[in-house]
Amino acid sequence: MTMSEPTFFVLTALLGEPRHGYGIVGEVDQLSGGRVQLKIGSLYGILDRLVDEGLVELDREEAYQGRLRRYYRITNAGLAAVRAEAARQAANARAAARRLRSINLQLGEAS
Amino acid sequence: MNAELERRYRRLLRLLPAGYRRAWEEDMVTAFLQSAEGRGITRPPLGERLSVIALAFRLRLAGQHEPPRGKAWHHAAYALALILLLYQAVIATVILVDLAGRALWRPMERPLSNVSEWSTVLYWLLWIAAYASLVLGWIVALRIAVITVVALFAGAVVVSGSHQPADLIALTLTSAWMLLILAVPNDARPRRIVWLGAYLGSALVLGPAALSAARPGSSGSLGVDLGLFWRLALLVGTVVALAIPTLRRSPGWLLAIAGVTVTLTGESLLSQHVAFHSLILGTSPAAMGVDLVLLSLGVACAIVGIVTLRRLPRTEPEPA
Repeated sequence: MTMSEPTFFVLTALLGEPRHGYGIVGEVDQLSGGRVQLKIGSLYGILDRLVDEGLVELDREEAYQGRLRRYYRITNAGLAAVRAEAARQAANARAAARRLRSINLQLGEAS
Repeated sequence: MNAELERRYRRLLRLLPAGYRRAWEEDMVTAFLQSAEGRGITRPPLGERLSVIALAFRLRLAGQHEPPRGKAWHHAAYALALILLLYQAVIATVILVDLAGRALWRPMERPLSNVSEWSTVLYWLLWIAAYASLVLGWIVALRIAVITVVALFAGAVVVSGSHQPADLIALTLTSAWMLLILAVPNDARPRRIVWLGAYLGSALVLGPAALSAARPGSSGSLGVDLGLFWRLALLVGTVVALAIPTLRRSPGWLLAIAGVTVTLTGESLLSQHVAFHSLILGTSPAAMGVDLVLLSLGVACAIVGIVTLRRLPRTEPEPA
């Protein structure tokens, strides 16, 4: 099953270090070059599903301006899911690049 | 300012199911307030409001984070979709077998000679695909099939320019399928053997009858009392639901069966002369007798279903 782009970026944002909700939004924005701008409602819909599927889990809770802020981390299953999706996307990109190269060659020969 | 903004965010989050709010509200409010820092906003921006509304809509339709009573209503919608889709799939099979038979044996009638007839074939094939998708647990495929069916039907009504009340009622009923199908949970997994068996059994009884009715020289009638067939099938389903303890304790199944039996038989008994009933359900004395039995069993299912439903908690139990 393929993964939606926002879900892929949320998981990718959690690679390396645990992050809190707003931190994930900022990281996704940066990773996607500003193309994927998650709303908080959408983010927590994705997080709820990922926690339910065991791909993400709670890391810790910290106090922030008098309120609790939760940090989330990726699980081993989440890591495997990102790896599989990244491999799928890379294979797609390689196939497209091969086809583009052959078209460029044909165009070059024609001209 | 911050307190007022927080109050507004919390009011917006009340759209979400209580179980979901318990798990996520505090963290969401922290994230909302952090995102508002330094931006001078006094109320939730439109984009954020829409994202919460979309999340609430999705969670409530899917029955996620619902209390047990809410989940039972979702289960009733799913069971109703399964029963009605089985009916649609069997009707579709009979119609398609009849069309195939006429195309084979009565080519002079030119049964598949224009686009409109091919779109009818597509329309009925999609009902079979929708049923197969639900039975196999392919919920996305089910939704695509039903949305396409509704779009095809709406397109046909618009193209025909018909403003007949019957067409508009049929269009409204067909559109109601969208809500029913959207309420089917994503993890719905019916018992394949039972539901595929029900479809194949019905198709094996009615398919050959439709094929023989399409043969040259036949009277064109099915030779099977379709009304009696549906009533007996429903009777078997109702008795099974009341006899098997796991089904008897499931308010979703009981309410779905009660909904189908009471609506069909009650309406049929009250309006014996309506053309729809004589065509689809038949009006033979045997059928009327079964109607009375079915109506009583349907009422029994409704009573047991409502009693079981009322025993379920209205709110999600507190985590230990």
